Amino acid sequence: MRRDASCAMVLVSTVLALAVVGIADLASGQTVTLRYLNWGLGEEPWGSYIREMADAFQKANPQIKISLEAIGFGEKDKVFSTQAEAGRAPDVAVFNSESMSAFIQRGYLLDVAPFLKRDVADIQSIFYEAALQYVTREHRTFGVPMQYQPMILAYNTKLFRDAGLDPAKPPRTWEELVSYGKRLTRDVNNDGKLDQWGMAIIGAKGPGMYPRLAPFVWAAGGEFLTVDEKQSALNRPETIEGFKFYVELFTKQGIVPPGVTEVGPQQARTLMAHSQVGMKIGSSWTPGIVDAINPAMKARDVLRFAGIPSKKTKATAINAGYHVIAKSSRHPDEAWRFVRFLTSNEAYKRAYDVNRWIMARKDTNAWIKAKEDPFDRVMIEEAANARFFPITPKWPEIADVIGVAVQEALTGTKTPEQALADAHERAGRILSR
Amino acid sequence: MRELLRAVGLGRAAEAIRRTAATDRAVGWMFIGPSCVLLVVVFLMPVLHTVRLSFLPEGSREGGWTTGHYLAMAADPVVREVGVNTLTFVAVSVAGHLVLGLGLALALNARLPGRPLFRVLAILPWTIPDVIVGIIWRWLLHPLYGPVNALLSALGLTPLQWLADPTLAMPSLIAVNLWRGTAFVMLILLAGLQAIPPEWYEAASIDGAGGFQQFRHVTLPGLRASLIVVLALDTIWEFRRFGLVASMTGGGPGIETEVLSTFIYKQYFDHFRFEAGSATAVVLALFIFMISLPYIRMMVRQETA
Repeated sequence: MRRDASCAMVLVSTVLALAVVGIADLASGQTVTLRYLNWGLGEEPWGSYIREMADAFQKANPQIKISLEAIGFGEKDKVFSTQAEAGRAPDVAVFNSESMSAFIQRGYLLDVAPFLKRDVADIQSIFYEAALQYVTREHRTFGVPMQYQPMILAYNTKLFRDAGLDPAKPPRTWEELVSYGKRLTRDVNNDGKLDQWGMAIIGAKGPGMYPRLAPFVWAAGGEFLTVDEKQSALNRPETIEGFKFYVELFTKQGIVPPGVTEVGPQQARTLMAHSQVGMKIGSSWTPGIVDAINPAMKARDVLRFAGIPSKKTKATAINAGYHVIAKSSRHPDEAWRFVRFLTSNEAYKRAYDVNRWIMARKDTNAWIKAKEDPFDRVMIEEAANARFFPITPKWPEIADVIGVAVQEALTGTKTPEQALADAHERAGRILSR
Repeated sequence: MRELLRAVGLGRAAEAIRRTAATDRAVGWMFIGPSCVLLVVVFLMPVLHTVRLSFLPEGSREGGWTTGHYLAMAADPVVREVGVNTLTFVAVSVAGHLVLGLGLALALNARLPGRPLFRVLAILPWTIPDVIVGIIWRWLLHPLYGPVNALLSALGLTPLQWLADPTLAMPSLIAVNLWRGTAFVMLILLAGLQAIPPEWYEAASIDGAGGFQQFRHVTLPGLRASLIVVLALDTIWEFRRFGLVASMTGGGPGIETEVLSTFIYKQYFDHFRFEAGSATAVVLALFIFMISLPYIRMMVRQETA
């Protein structure tokens, strides 16, 4: 009897507690909370910029609360896709272009074309067409373009001068790149060992490799896939030429530091920050991050930008980002209001002030160009030669195959030709699935 | 009991006992109920969902059914190579753990000076999470900044590309895994050694058995149960090893150190191929289950004995 009464009391208490929570929830139901996932929250000064934007939006829209969710750059895709599969993705998020095709194909993202049509007059004159086309499928647009940064050659003017090179004349051809690289590869402290190299290249597999490999493949006239993206083009002589040039910077020319297969973008910046390499492929974020690693270097004074040296044609890869709204969002209208705020000209000007990022709005870039900053001038010029990666949702898998081929060629496990031939076969199998 | 009470005219007492027993059962279910629900939600449902996913066509939202992922896996040379890498990694790691662990256990079982300190030092690597171990050793073995190569240079030897050289990457990974995981095997075998009655050794000694004969005819048979436990558990864990490989080599260079766990992770989270990744995960899980059958059988026998 006593036991029955205890059980009943527990049950009643539980029901009452749930009821109280439910009532409280209903009472606060007038405020909409949007979850905003942005990897920049963990990095300064980008994190401060995001918080500033969120605060400004909330002040102007008191009925919308922004709940910021930080995530590591390498984890953002995994976390979002897991949550999206469960139908619980953050309302608004930021992704780089390489994730977009797979997310679109898996139905994670909301079509924002109706919002754009309603609220943005003449969108083609505002955003770069290539940036919009990349996320548009049959008139449905799945993201609003954010950063739009071409890859460029960053070089250390002091090391150039020390090696007897003119910093005002950066290398423009592949031959000059190798020649400069050899002059920069030196034993600086005369201990009989090399401690400075001409160039850092990315040999670690990951999203950082392909934007730095692609300019050399494209500059040779090569391609990764056929135009219809149904077949691999890795067996084309031009593709092999560009691929071979990239890996032979290490294996044959000897202008790249050892341990290259472990060098990712951050390791390359570290090498540059410690004056161990004279050149690297980077973008607008390079001086800021190099400065953070080694403030004594005064990166913005010492580093300069130039177009990536070319062979037959000038080409570079674009590093583009997008603001997206999750299809599972229960507040699409409020989410759009937030995205529209974040992608306005004023917000993008502020992004430039904070992080020196080139954004995907033409009006913002015209304003940036007027500042005549030496870095930004090159960025905006090179944006005209910038290309996106293939649009197929199978690209992440094919990119991984190419990454394996790069490492096999860098380590000498296979010749560049054999590594790329095997990659061509594997890519073909993936595309034919 | 209740019938007896009824027979002697104590029906009310019998009824009270019946109600108490039923209430006890109900209360028992109330206590274990949440755990059962948790097991179903956290374990059974994800397993069933994964198996179902493995039979769905790629990217399918409407359903359907296919064995295509399993067939593609069987025909894919990359999966074969990753499978060979996994078997190599597991076999050498488990054998190494066993040999080193038994050696350490025998040493710690003997009355040697400094035994307590040595025991602590031996266990320390095992207390570090394997992701952290991978990161630490990645820096120790760094070709430019790592102290291992600095030591080699100081000794006049050529620095090595420990993780970048395809012939050294897997041995380096296995060596670090041995460093990290031997302590657990040592602990289990040490407990097993200490459970062997000393009279057995005395009797063997009286019968004229030397050190090696005592080891072969007393120690090894006495450790049989512990060895089965260690072999089964360590094999299962090494097949599941992910953090160390992901943080130390990422499966590279190329796919030289790619194992099934990292391969499945990439299928899921880098390539967004949840269906194919599920098929690979199901195959790996079945394989691990088959390996663990001797251990499960032993545990069940112990429970029923």
